[in-house]
Amino acid sequence: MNDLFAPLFEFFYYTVPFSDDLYAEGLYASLGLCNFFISLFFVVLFYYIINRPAFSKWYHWLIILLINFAVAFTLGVVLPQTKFVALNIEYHSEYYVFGLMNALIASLFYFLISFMIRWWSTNAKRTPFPH
Amino acid sequence: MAKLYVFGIGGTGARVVKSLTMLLASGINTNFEIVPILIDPDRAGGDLNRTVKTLREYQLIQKEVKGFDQNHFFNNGISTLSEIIANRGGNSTVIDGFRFELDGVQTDFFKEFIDFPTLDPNNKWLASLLFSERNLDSNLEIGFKGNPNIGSVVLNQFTKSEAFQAFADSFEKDDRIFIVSSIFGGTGAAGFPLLLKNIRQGFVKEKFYAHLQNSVIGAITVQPYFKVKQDDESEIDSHGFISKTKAALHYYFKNVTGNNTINALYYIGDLAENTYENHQGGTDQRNDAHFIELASAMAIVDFANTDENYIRTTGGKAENPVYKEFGIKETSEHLNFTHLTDDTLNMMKKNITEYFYFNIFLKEKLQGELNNPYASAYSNKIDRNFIDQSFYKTLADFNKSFRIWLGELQRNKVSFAPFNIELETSTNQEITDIRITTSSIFSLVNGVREKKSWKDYIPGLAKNNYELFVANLNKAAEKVGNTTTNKRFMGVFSKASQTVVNQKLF
Repeated sequence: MNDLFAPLFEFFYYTVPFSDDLYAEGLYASLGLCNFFISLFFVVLFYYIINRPAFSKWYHWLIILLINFAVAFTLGVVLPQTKFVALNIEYHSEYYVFGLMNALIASLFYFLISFMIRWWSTNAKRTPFPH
Repeated sequence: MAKLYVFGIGGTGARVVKSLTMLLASGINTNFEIVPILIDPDRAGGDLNRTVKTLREYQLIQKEVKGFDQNHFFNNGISTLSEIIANRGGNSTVIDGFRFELDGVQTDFFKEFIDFPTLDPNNKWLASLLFSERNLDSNLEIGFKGNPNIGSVVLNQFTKSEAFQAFADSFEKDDRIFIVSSIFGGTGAAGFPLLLKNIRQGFVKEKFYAHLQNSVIGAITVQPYFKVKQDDESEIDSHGFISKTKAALHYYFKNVTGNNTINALYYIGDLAENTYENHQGGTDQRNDAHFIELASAMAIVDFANTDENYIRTTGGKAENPVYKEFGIKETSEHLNFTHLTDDTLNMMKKNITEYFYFNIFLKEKLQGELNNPYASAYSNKIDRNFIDQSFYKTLADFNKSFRIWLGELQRNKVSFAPFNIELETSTNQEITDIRITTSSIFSLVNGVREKKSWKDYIPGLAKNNYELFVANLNKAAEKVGNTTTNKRFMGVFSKASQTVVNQKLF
């Protein structure tokens, strides 16, 4: 799983030794799966649980995307930081740049999953824009 | 499908047929093809013309959704007599737009119609006994102005006309006939017994029609429900309404009910507390719609739904004639659904309410809600282009007539106001439209409380008002699927209106 997600994360952000340590600790797999399931949750929340005409405009979809972004950013910072602090490995700005990239990857998941499952939503099948 | 020929005689007949059209538009089904035949010598009559316009619009809409089982609005077919003949491959030259001309009334005075100047002296004396000087000088072009003695002579012409023969030719075994007339005027009071007698004789232009003689015939005879303002210049005087009614009922006792010529006779009337302007005829004779007319239209539906085993005819006589009166639960000057009996409510409450919400949504919201999936997520889109097409324009016109009809029912006495609406009027006090003044649309049914679910008690959780309507439109669109835009539009709105009314009201 780590090998599956590593190219994606490293395409967006690769810096040694931070990226090597992420790979060595198996964090790409954890974060990749977290991003996927969190994005899936927010997409399902928007298209199937909220699923109402009054909350089906493109800017409503964007609001949920930004929440997804914020959650992924927080995870992208907190998870590596917790792990590396416990291992006495010291990094600073890397956490935040990686957090930002992690949020972008989560947004990509949100975008892709949205277009995959929106067809069956009753009230938001055309959100964020017509097909 | 069997046909129900509805003869609407005079102004009241035309207005009852208009109410029937509104009921059919709302989804009430008679299981008969309705063939309205409006008989009124007053060609320019405002009420007659409004009814004909409504019927034509209904037909145009119905044609587009015919046979589409996902839609229940405009479900019942309405045809003109000439269409029925054409469909049977007949070659009659009758061309009708629901109304029928009476020969000789266009330009004639009554005295010319009966050839009074050429009568020999004895017949002149006899005619002078039966008809006053004013009767003889009466211009027939604007109707019989409350004179059944004139009406009976002139209307006799209709039963000898080509149109009546076309009706007889097209009449088939399972078809039925319903006659709507008022008992206190001129045209209706004279026309009903005359028409009935001719149908039961079964002879038209010396040709015998057994189906016609043994047909199942219903009728409603509308007793006084309005007065007209006193006008010494006018021949119509409402002081005579009651005595005319008594005289006519006495006549019916012998010649209609007394000899079993009718299978079902409905009686209706009111205290006649409302007073209309005294117009003898013409375009000015344009009275507000009245609850009595709506109830009379329901009599037609009741008749259509009566099992044929209960109303048989043998040898030109009704076997077990039924006589019915319309009643409400309690008397009030302002009626709404709570005043009506269960039978009446079962017949029309849901349908009228569903059509009301459909109508209000189209008027208030449609143009701003075209981006929702029900409108835009399908290949046949409900968009600006659709709104500019003739189908939608016709529907919008019909819907406006429906709203005006509701407004008139509310303004009249007795007032029937099932919905909390405000009236928009022109400078001459004609109702031009209605408006609603609340966004809580499910509080608009008078006497009915909006149904609540647990979600309504958690702020922001429940979908309400127009949002609920749109959500149901989106859901309905998935069920209706892709078909022509006109059918899809009607199917989606029909289903959604049904669902919201079930969810929130009844």
